[in-house]
Amino acid sequence: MAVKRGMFFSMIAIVMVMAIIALFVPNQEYVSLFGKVTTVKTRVGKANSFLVAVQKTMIQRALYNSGHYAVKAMVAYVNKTKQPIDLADFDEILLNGTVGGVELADMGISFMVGRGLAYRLEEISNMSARELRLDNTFTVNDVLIVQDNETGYKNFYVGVNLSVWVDADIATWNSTFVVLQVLDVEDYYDPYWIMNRDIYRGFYFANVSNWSTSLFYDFAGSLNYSYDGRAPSFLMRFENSSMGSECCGVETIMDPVAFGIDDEPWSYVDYCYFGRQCNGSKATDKSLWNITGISSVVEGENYYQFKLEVYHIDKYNLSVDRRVVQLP
Amino acid sequence: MKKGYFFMLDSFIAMSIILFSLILIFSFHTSKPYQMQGIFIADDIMDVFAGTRVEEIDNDFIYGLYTGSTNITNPKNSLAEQVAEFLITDREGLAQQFVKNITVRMVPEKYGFMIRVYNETKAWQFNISEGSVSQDEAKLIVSSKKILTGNINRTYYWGPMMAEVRIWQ
Repeated sequence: MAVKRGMFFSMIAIVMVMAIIALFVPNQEYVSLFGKVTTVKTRVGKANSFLVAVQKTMIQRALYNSGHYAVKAMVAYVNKTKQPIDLADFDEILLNGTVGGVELADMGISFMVGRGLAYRLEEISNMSARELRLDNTFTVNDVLIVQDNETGYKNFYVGVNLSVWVDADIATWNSTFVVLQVLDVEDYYDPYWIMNRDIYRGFYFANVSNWSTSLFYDFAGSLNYSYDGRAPSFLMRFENSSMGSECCGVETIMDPVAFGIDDEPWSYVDYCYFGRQCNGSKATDKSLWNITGISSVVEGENYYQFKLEVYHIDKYNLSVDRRVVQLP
Repeated sequence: MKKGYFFMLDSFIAMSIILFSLILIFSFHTSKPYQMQGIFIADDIMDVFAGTRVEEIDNDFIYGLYTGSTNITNPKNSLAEQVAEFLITDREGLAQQFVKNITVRMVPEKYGFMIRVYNETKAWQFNISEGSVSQDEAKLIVSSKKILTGNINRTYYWGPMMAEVRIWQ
């Protein structure tokens, strides 16, 4: 009887030990789940790293390059058509290299061939899907090209508002952000001059604070530009606008002989001459003046009959020689 | 006397069962450090390769490439981007030397180590270390990949290209 009781208690002890073992040994599901945690962590890390790279570097570089060539294409378009181009068309040029649905390449303008931003985004998307197994979509919500107080007259912004969706199977990311790139006006020709005189002029900005006749002479002879809030900005020149831009207006001087410009009663500052404006500071006195040390009286000589109106005479600190035009 | 033997035997059996159960419980483990180390190494190397700028590397050869010469025009490129730039501008020899200088003692000798840079049309491979076994015979191969793009002199855009770090053992 004692033996049977002993055996009975032993059996109970063994069952209890087996129950404890069963409770504390990790089951197959736990083992496989723990093994998956590292995989999940790596996958999430990869997708996150891809999205960060897209936001911080990839789009910036693609936008800089596509934006630069899109502006070059706009200048070429103006040269081809001798017509202004609406800045609202910039998004189409930037993304697809087209204007009004027409390929610029078909017009002989090849700057955007293989450089459209939409094409570049597609390449990045395809490569990440193929190599990183990350399904993704890029959506361009908005495109902008602008000059303001931040950029000043020497630069301008090109930007996109972009949405990115990434699917890593175990998680998805949805991000919307704006990317801006600063481009340099000095990298392009002046579309205003192309339209109005069929002449290619590059933007070279003078750095003069205290003007004199000799500095003005060098400035004009070097075909430089200077800031003026009454003049149109670089971007406004694409639209052949002669209106003023307080933040970003730029102007240049015209030697009538060098540029084959007819003698007309307008100040020989580009936006004044082409825009048929500026003369005089008063409604009753629209005088134009010859400039001492600049204007020539010899026909055919540089600056023959060169003239400016009062505002620019004061701006460049010049002395006047002879009044040329006086209109009521 | 016989009772004493019985109780001793009983306690001996009980202790054995407890010991056996403890051994059984603690013998189950879920971590696999063998694979994990390789994954960590590959990821870490890729982080260094893609996240470290050229100007941050303390190496005389690399320093000379952007101070004494114009082989490197933008020292703010990451190491991976700089290698890709060398490759697409047909300077494979320079890329090889560059990779050799940045990967010195990066990986324990028992691991095989290789860097690949490729796109849809072309691929370049840098075999850094053979490791204790060849890649074909390896029991473990792990890789880490990153997409690269870049601009050269502001107007020449290249990419996208893939950079891959491959470790095997």
